[in-house]
Order: sequence, then C-alpha cells, then structure tokens
Amino acid sequence: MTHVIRAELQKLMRRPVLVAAGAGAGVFAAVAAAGVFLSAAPDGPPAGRTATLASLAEPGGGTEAFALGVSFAGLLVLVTFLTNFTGEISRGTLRTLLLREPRRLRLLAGKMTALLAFAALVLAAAVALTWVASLAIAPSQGVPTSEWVTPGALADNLADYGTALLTLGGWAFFGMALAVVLRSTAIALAVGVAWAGPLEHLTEDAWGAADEWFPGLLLEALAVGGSSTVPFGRAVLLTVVYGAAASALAAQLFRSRDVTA
Amino acid sequence: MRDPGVPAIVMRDVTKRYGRRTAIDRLSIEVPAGVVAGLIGPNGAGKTTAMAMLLGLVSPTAGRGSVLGGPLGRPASYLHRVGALIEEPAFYPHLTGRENLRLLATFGRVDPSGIPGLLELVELDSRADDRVGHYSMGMRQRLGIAAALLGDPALLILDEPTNGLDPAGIREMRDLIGTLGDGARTVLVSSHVLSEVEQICDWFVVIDRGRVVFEGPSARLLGDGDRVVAAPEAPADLQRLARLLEGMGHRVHARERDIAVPVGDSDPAVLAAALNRAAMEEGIVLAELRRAGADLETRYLSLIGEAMS
Repeated sequence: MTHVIRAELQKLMRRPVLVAAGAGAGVFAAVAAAGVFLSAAPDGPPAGRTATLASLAEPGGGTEAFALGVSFAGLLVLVTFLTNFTGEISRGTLRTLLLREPRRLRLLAGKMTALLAFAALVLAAAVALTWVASLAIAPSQGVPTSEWVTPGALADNLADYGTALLTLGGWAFFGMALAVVLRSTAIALAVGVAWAGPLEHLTEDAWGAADEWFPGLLLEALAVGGSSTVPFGRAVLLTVVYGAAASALAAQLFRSRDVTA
Repeated sequence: MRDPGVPAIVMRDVTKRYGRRTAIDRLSIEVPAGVVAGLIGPNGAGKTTAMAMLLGLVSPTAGRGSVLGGPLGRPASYLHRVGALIEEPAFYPHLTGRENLRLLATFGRVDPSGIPGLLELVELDSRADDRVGHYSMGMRQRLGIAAALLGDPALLILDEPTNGLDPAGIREMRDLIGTLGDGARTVLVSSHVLSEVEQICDWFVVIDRGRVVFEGPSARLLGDGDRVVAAPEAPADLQRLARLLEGMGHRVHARERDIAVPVGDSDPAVLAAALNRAAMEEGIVLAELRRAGADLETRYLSLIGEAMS
C-alpha cells in the first residue's frame, strides 16, 4: 500500500498545492484568531462555539481560536474529500490507476491514508499559525498569554489538534463514502451538503434528540469537545461507528463494482 | 518476456450481462503469445467490454480465462506485466505529461528511469513538461501509449488507439503499434478503422454482438477470400461465361463487368488455367484473368453478414 500512498503524496506535495494549502492555513489562522478574539465576551463561562477573554487567557487559549474555527470547517472537508474521489471517477483516472493497482481496497485505503496525512499536515500548520496569530492579537484585547507556554498549555494544544483531526477525519470519511457510493460529483455534493446542512438542522428543530444520533450534529458536538446534550465520549464513539459503517459500505462497493467510466 | 507455449489471452465461455442486456455472450478466444492481434467488430459488439474484463475493470458474469497464465478473476496476478490504453486516455490535467508518467510509475512500482525514453518514443519529449490539460487529443493518445509501455509489459491492450487522431496521427500511431509488436511482446488492439489494423495485425478476432465470428491468423482470414476474377472482352458474353463455369461445378459471383470464382482449396494458378481453357473452347475471349485476394473490409463484412444471417 505504501506505493499508493507515495503516489498520492507525489500529487499533493507539489509546490502549487503546498502554496495553496499554506495560504489557506494562513487565512484560516488570521480569520479565526481575529474573529474569536474580537468577538470574545469579557467574562462568563465559554459555551459551545464562543470564547471569553478569561478562557482565552487559560493555558489552552493559544489554540482556542483554532478549535472554534475548525468546527466550521467540516463541510469544507466533506466537499474536498468528496470531490477528490468523484473527480477520479469522472476524469477516468480511477480507471488508469486500477490498471496499475488492481487491488482495489489497497488503492482506496492508500489514497485515503495519503489524503488524511496531508490534511493532518495542513491542520498542524493551521494550529501553529493560529497560535502565532492569537499571540499577536491577544495584547490588543488585553488577554495575558503567559499561561500559553506552559507544559499544560502544550497538552491542551495537542488535545485541540487531536479533536480537530478526529472531527475532520469523520467528515473526510463521510465525504469519501458518499463519493464512492454515489459516484457523481453533483449528486454526491447535493446529498452531502443537504444532509449535513439543512436536513439535520431542520430535523433537530422538530426532534430534540437528533443531535444525539445524526452524524453531522455529532461531529459538530465533537468539534467543540462535547455539548450539554452530547458528551464528548458519545460523540467520539458514534462518529467512529458511523465512519466505520460508511467506510465498510464504500469499500464493498469499490471492490465489487465494474469500472466503466 | 513470455512463457513459451502459454497463450497470452484465453477466454472460455465468458459472458457479461448488464441487467437483461447481454454485452458478451459465451465469448471464447485464444490469442497466442507474440502476435499483434486485431479485435474487430461493429460498434456495440463488445470489444471494449471484453478488454475491460481482461484488465480487471469489469467482472465477468460467467466463464473463465487467463491472461499471461494468470486467472482472469485475479488481475493482480498478471496486470504488472500488462500495459493498457482503454477508452479515452485519462490523466491528471493539472500535471505535466512527465509528472503523470512518474505518478503512474510510482503507482505501479515501476522504475521511472525509462520515462525519458518513452516520451521520446511517442515523440512527446519536447512537450513533456507541459500540462496535460493543454495537450491535443493526439498527444494524450500518445501519452497513453507511453503510460501503457511503462515497465516494458509483455502484453499491450489498446482500445481504439487511433480514436480522435487526424490522418497523419493515425499513420504515426499505426507505425508505432507495428513497432511495439516487434519481438516477443503480444499486442491486442481494437479498432473500427479496418485498414489500420489490416496493415499491422497478424492475428484477428472478429466479434459481433458479443460472440466470436472469426479467430485466427490474418493469412487465414484474408486467404479465405482468395478468388480468380475473369472478365470477358464482350460484355454480352458475361452470362454465358457464368453458366459455363457453373456447369463446371464452380461457385460463381457474377458482377457488373466480371465474374469472381472463389479459389477454395484449389491451386489458384490451376483454376485460372482451367477457366481460361474452358472460355477459349467456348469461343469467349477473356480481356482479364487475375487472382484477387480479399481485403479485410470485404472479409469482415462477409463474416458479419454471415453471422447476422
């Protein structure tokens, strides 16, 4: 499988892609840090996707903007992974790749591994840049940053990074599964965006327990470390279960379907 | 490069159904190693489906077979020795031709050191560092051939490689494929341009509506159509000559100005002499007496016609 990973990374680790990813991480860092610090409430406990000046001064304050910003990036990751896979199908490059690697599950797993590794790298850049941007903005909002460089801060930063990775990994698996199952970019996008966007949220208005069960809402809860109704552990567990089920379905279809495009 | 005695391609009673539609119907073919084989048939005959099954892209509904000795259902056992271009060549448009080949070399665990030579072979070396998105159809086809040749495969499967090419491109591609078939490599090429495959193939598989209607060396396919053509000097003698030859027990195809007599198992020279003698004894002067071979198109149309009837 390593050859598939290397080939996929060969595509991703080119200068234009790296520049675009780096620029994206930079813009994200600037917007997230500015948005969170400028909108932070002066006091009170942080709730959901909000921060307070007090919470920003805590050891994990340096990456709080990152954690809150990433919670809005789920749909972007879903779309990115989805279009990457449907693009291979619609362009016919999947056919070209299968002529070189007919073991389809290795191809799927290798490609997914490489994409996730690249996403992890971009996320690492984003977390570092957000920390730097936060450090630059914090004095203007009167937020002390002395706690940000303690060993406890590093643990908090890593926890934020891990949570973001898990959340975006969940979105990535759902994007891949949708692409493999539906194959068409337009249809997969329509289904994915409609489901994760309006459909789940409208259902949530009618059915209070929706956030405990629906994958998109669970990922939203996961991104912010759990909510009042969905504990972090439940969000992790159900995300893993749903992700595994979606991946198993995608793998089975990918392995057995004829490739005629 | 090849296992002596092992056919390059074997398909036995292979069937492919899509719902109620049968694309391939108990197809049985055997292509010996080392030949340039032409897979020909009308549109929708099942050529691309047959090739896709050989390449593991499409699973047969029934039947069995082998490619380079590896079982048909396990493409991983033989695809590393197979190069292919099927349907339109598909590449990453934002990568250059060279980058695409490097990527495929990594993907197939093939030594990339041969890439410059391949680019030179397909005459893309001067455009190798341009993005594939800026390539013409002909250039993409040639890059597809280069990709198929990565790793020096023992078997090349090319599906309509002249599609979308201009006449000069078609000629270049034909010459290239002829070169690729030199030596021990087996080439299976499908085309609907019969004059193209006629010049490069020494083996033919003709399929129609998913079934084989001819399989064998080109000499047999084209030789089966050998005939002696006789034209009387006076057009009024045409019917009389036809009756005379039929009376001698020959199968006769009377045409507008001449009569064609299939050679069959006869010696063509002996047959021509017999026709000449009989016509002379009957007082018919022949203005023309010649041996004619069938071209692929004539034989193909005859085979397809027989299959339909």
